[in-house]
Amino acid sequence: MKGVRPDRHGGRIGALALLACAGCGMDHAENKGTDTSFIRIPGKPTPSVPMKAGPVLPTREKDRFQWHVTTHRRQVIDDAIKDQVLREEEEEVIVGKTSDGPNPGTVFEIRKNGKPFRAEIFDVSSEQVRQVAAGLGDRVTMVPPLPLMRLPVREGAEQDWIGVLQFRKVRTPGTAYSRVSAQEIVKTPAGEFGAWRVETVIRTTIEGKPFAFPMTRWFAPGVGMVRQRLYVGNILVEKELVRYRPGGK
Amino acid sequence: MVPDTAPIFPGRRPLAAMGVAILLVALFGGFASARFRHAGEWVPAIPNTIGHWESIDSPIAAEILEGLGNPPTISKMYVNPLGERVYASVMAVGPFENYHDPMVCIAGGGNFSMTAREIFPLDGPGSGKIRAMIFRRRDGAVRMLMYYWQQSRDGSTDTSARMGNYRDMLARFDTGLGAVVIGRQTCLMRIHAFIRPDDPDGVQAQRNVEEISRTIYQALRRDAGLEPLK
Repeated sequence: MKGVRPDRHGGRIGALALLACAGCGMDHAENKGTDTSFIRIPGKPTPSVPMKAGPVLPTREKDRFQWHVTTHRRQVIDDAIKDQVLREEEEEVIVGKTSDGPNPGTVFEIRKNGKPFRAEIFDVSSEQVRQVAAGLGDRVTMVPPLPLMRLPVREGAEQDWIGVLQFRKVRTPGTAYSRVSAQEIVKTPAGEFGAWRVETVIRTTIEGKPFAFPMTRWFAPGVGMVRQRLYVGNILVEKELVRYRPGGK
Repeated sequence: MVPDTAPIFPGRRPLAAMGVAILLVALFGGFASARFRHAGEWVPAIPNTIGHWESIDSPIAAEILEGLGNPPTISKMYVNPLGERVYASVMAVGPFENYHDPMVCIAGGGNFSMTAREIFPLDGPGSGKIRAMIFRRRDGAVRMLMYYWQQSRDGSTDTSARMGNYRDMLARFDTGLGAVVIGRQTCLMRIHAFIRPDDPDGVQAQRNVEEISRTIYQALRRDAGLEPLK
């Protein structure tokens, strides 16, 4: 009949529309991608790094550590990091006696070419690790001691500090923030260690100008610090464990 | 026998029917526009401080907002004491032009491609689902983690894409139904951080994005007058 056209394509168009709808809701698609390991589903266990048993910062008297120290100048230029090695040297750290004096803690004496050069004092109890002082003969003392991590160590745990940095007779207010950021396998010349990465930043004011001192330390249970990074402005000081001698043997 | 060319409505009825149809379409159009406008009028505040995180306003570029129809937006950059950053934006969405999905927008920009996607409840069982995505710069050097979801004032969340292609028809239908018929008010949430080189598996970046996202999610629920999730 003229003017009346049977719709031969109607069925096909309908089927196409149905097919199109079958693709609706992208969320039903299977999750995939080359970087799926970068997304962890909350509540699902995440793989942990194998670690030795023992205290995160052993304070055995006479323990000796040999460090390789690299000092860099780092500049960020147009999103690229320009790195210049300024010097490389060796340091030795000897663990001293734990004292109960005005700065209770264990002295980690740092030597260069056999001569005492610097020291760091840590107070390690069954509950936490705190930094008491750091520096040369005239040390900067943290009042109260600055907490680095609570024990047992838990990934993601944070610590705040508000106190005073005392250098000789000068007392400067300061704040600090410390966080156990991750468990990592650290490769050093002394071997591979399962370690906690602890990031700390100390903020203070020097002659009216605000200063921040960020540092990252890796603590391997049973051994102690196996790597450190310390920034002073655009100068990065990196320390890596080369040799570890328990009891100095 | 009716001739082939005979009008379906004899006399003036076609004009009247057309007029009624136009009027109905115009009325519905006006009603739908008003409802879509209403859908985009919920602009919940987000916290300035979250735990150790302090925020500063970080406005989205005017030309980007213009391309989206200038929806009301709050955008902040959160910084923690270690200098890590998390970016968060709340965009009140009404008409479809406000909806741009990061899967298409970010990847379509040419510099990044989406390399992972997962959907899971943000804050434990019973909480709304979000879509987590990794975008990797094409030179492979930089990765970004983003949590994305649509937050409705009734407490529900949705992670479906709405980008105007055939695959999002059901999601768009749901948006239209929600805005026009139910009167649902919705915000698009985008919370992201770049994965730093010293965070090789992105663990810290996800921890940071999660902390900010969960707190903001609870703030949105409070703003909507809903009970906090335990």
